[in-house]
This record gives sequence, C-alpha cells and structure tokens, in this order.
Amino acid sequence: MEATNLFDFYTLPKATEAKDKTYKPSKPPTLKEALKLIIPKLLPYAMTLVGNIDDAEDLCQEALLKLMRNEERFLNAEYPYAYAKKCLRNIFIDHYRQELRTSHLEDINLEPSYKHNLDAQLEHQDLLDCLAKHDETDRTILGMLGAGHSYQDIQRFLGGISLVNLRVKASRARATLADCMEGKDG
Amino acid sequence: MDKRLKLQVADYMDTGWTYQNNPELRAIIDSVSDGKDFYEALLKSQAKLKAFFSSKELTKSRKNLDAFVDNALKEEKKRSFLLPLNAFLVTSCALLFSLNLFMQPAEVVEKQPFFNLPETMPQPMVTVAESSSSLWQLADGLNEEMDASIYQVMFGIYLYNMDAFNLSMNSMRADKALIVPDKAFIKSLSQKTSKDFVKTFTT
Repeated sequence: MEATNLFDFYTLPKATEAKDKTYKPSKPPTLKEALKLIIPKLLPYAMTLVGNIDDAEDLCQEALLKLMRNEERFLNAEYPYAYAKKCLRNIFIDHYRQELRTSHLEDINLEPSYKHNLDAQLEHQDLLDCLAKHDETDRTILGMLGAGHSYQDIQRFLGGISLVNLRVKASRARATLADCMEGKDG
Repeated sequence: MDKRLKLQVADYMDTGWTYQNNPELRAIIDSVSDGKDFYEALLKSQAKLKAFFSSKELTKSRKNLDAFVDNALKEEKKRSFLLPLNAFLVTSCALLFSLNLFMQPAEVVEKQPFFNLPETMPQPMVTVAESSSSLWQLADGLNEEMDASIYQVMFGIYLYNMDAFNLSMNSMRADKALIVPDKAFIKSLSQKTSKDFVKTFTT
C-alpha cells in the first residue's frame, strides 16, 4: 500500500482539475488552503462521532485550532488528513472523558451520542441507529461516502488502509446498513 | 439472499450500475426472492446517507468553518504584525528608562552636594602684641577659648608668626602684629611636642 504523500495532499478537487488541464500541483499549500481542504472531510467524520451538526461543528473548530497550533506537524505529516482526523478524535475522546469522568476508555466504545435530537435527527433516527451498530471505521467510510468523497480521499483520511481493502469494507458496510434499514422498516 | 450476493450487489452499485442499466446486476437480484427488497433497502440507505451527510445544514456548517479559519488566521496575521511593533515599543521604553536612570544621579549630585562650603571663610584672628605682654600672657587668655593647653597655643602662635620673634620665643617684637591661628590648627598640634618645644626656651 502506498503512503499518502504530500503531493496527493496538495491535489485539488477533481472538478477543478478537469477545468484546468494545465494545473500542476507543485507548490505546497499554505495552512489556510490545507485547512480548507480538510474541513469537508472532518465534518462528516465529526457527524459520525457526535450525531448532530452543532456539536460536530464545535468539534471541528477545536480540531482546526489544534491544527493551527501544530502547523508544522500537520503540513509535514505523512498522512495530513489522517493526522487531522486523529486530532479531532482525540478531542472527542477528551470531551467524552470529561463527561464520564470515571469511566474507563474501553467502556466508551466511541459510539455516537444522539442526545440533542433535533427535527432533522428524528427524521434520520433510523439511519443513526443503524450507523451506531457499525464500528468507527465503517461509520467514517459510510459518512464520507454519503458526503460525496472519493475512495482516494477516504483512504487519505483514514490512513493505513489500501484502496482494495477500503472498497471491500465499504461494500460490507453498505450491505449491513441496508440490512439494518430493511429490518427497521419491515 | 446470502452475504456473498449482497456484497456483489453492493459492489456493482458502487461502480454506478443499477437494476435498470445493467443486466448482470438485474440477473443477480432476480435470482433470489428477497433480492429486490435488499436492492431497494440499499438504494434507500444510500439516499438517506446522502441526505444526512450532504444536507444543507452541513453545507452551512462547512461555510461557517471556512469563515472560522479565515478569521482565525486573519487574527494571527494581525498578531504577527503587532508583535514586532510591540517589541520595538517595549525596547525603546526600556532604553529610555535606563538612560533616565543614568542621568538621574548627576542631577542629584548637583542639587545636593556632599558638603557646603561657606561663602566666607573664617579669617585668622589678628592681634597686636603690646610691648609689655608676653606670649605666655597672650596664650593664657586664649587657651580656654581654643580648648587646648597653653603650650599648644604658644607653639601654634610661634609657628604662625616666626618673623615676629627674635629667634627666641621669649623675645617678641612689639612692631609686628601677631596672627592667632584657628582652633583646628591649635588642636592638631601634639600636646607633648608643644610642651617640649616651649620648655626648650624656658630652661
């Protein structure tokens, strides 16, 4: 499996590439550009963790601040997307720990919490319930696919996973999600 | 529908195939009784995923986060611009303060000297020896005032007015005015030396 190198990280979205055929990614991105590339990936992941948009946005803001503080490490990371994801996940765990105080980390299980049920969440409650039955990686894959990200993007974001393995995992997750939804509806 | 078929259907759908546009996928779905149900559930779950993770709220949140990044980095830029300015101001203030510290003692010395010299210095007392009076008589009237022994006073007057004596302390000239030295000079003379000196003229 090839590591997601910095060159990949600088790649612009496909639509832009298609429009501008002379585009050659040569210049490393500034912190601002890198952060703006990371936001669309972080948001669905945060959604799979917390289950509602408001908390997801807060979580993303904290993660972005952390990335700004660790600019050097973030921009020079082998997997910058995965580094950002890990930052966000750590912040989420910190929050979870603060809430539970005495609970052991293994007991947390990182299942999304759906405490703040809004109208939109009620509408998607069956989906959220089914997502909660998946592990964290599957949830991330499904969330990012739902947000319209490519497998390459998801691979960079997860880090340490081959494209083939990712596709298999995605198919399984889709099938189990459909099974779960079918069961709920039926 | 077994797991293998379900995975195959999910995989085909991932490549963009549908029941309508692909006969292979259609064949798999039609081969089992619950194939259609699974296919519909798969479509529904995908639609729900898309609706949930590509909602308007999420797009709005994304824009909010973009604005957040812009603001945060703008503030950082402002801070990075102000930092050298602040450093310059602090350094110049410190420099001025330290210069002021160096200047202050000179002013203080000028304003408050360690000692004050009187405008008029005390002048030595001048007296004219009468022909009848002797050095002893003169010194006898002064020793109490000078707070010194009579020998000290005599020795002091003699040292100050050597030209007013004819070699000996006993032969004082009447035409010469005697200058009486000040108290400090008299007191600075050793009592013993003064007495011994005076005695050399009396014996």
